[in-house]
Amino acid sequence: MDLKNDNQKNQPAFKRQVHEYFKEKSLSADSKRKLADLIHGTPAALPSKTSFGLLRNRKVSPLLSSIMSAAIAASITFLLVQPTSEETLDPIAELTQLPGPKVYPPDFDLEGDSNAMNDIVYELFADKNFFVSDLPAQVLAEYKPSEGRFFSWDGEPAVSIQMNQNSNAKAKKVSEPATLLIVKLSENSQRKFPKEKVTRKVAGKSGKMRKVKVWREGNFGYAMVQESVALNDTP
Amino acid sequence: MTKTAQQNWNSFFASQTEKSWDALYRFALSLTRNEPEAEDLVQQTLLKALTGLSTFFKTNYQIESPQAAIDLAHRIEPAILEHHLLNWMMKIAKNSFLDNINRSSRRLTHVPLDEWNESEAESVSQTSGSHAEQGRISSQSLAQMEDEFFNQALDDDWLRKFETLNAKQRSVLFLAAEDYSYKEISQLLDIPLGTVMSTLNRAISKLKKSAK
Repeated sequence: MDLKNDNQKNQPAFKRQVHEYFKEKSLSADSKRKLADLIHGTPAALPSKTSFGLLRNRKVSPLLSSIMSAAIAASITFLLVQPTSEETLDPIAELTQLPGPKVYPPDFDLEGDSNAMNDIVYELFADKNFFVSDLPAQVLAEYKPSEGRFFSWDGEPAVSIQMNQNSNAKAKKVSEPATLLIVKLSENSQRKFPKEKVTRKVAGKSGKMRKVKVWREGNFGYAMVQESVALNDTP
Repeated sequence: MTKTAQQNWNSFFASQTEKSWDALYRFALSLTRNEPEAEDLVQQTLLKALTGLSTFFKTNYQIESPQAAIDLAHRIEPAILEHHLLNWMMKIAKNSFLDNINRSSRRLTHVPLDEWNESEAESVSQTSGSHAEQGRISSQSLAQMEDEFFNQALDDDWLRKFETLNAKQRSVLFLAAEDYSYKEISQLLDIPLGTVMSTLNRAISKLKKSAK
C-alpha cells in the first residue's frame, strides 16, 4: 500500500531488494477476473435469514464448509452487536466498546511527540480539516500518548490513542494505562453526547468492567477508557 | 436482503479491496512460497473477508448497515480504508494459512505448523526482558546486525536462499521489507514483539551466513 511504501526509495538494500522482488509478483488478469466473478457470484455475503437457511440445507465441500462456518459466526456476531434501536443508543457505552489501537496495526505513533497529531493529519489526509484536535492538556498531565488509529464514529472522523502513564502519574500512582478516544461530533451526536463531564463503569464485551470518563470541548467529544482485555477482530 | 442489495454489497467489497489484491497475493506468497497455493489462499481470504465485512465495519467504524458502510467509504480517505482492509485481510490470510496447515490432509502442507510456533517459549523469555543473557540477541545488537546486513547488497543467489527460510521468517521479512514496524508485524501475525525481532534476526542471520 502507498501508506507503507512511500519511503521505499530511501530504504537500505535488504529491504529494497526484497521489496523489488515481491513487487514483480502479481495476480494475472485472468486470476483477477476469476476472483471478481467469484465475489460477484457469492451468495450470502450479507446476513440474511433466507440465505442461511439455504446454506444449511446444501451439501458443501470441506473448504466451503469452513468458509461458511466463518460466515455464520461473523454474521451471528454482527447481529449480536447490533444495538436494539436508535432510541436506546448510549454514546458512553458505545464509546467504551470501540476498538483501541491495539486491535489493528496503528496508523501513527505519538510516542516522544505528543503534539504531532495535527502534523500527522496534514501528512495523511488530502482534506486538512479532516480531524483537528489537540490532545487535552489535563490528560497529558498524567499520560503520554503512543500508538493511535483513525476510525469513524457516527459518520464523523475519530481517533483512538493508547495512553501510558507518565512519570508524574507513576509518582502519584493514580493513573492506569488507558485509551483516549476523540470523536468529532456530528449534529446528531452533539445532541446525544453528554454535555457535562461523566464518569461511569461499563461492562466490556469480555464481561470485565471498564471505567470511562467522558467530556466534550467544542465540536469534539473525549473519552478516557481504562483498558481491559484486547478485542478479537478476525473472523 | 434483496438480490440487488446483495450484489451491491459484493461490488462494494470488490471495489474497496481490488487495489489490495496484489499486495495480499504477495503476502500470501511469502507464506506459501508457491504461486498456485498463494492464489488459493487469496481466494479463501477474500471469501472470508466478504462474509465478515459487516463485522469489520461494525467493529471499526460503528457502521450498522451496508448502506451506511457504502456511504462512509465515499466520505473517508480511501487510502486509510484500503490500509485497514488490507491489514485485516492479511490477518485472515495468516489465520487461514495456519488452519490449512493444521488440516494435515489438505494440500497446503509444505510448512509444518511447528515452524510457526517454534519459538513461542523463546519469545516469552525475550519479551519478558529477563533472559537476554541466555544467548538471545538484544535489540541493540539486532540493530547492529541489521545495519551490517543493510550495508551488504544481497548476492545474486539471495532468492534461492530466501526460499529456504520458513513461513514465519519469510512473512516477517516480507512485512519488514514493506516497511511495517516490529509492532505492526507483531499485531498482523499475532506473535509477540520479541518473536518478531528474533525471527527477523534469525532470517537475516541465515541469509548472511548462506550469502557466502
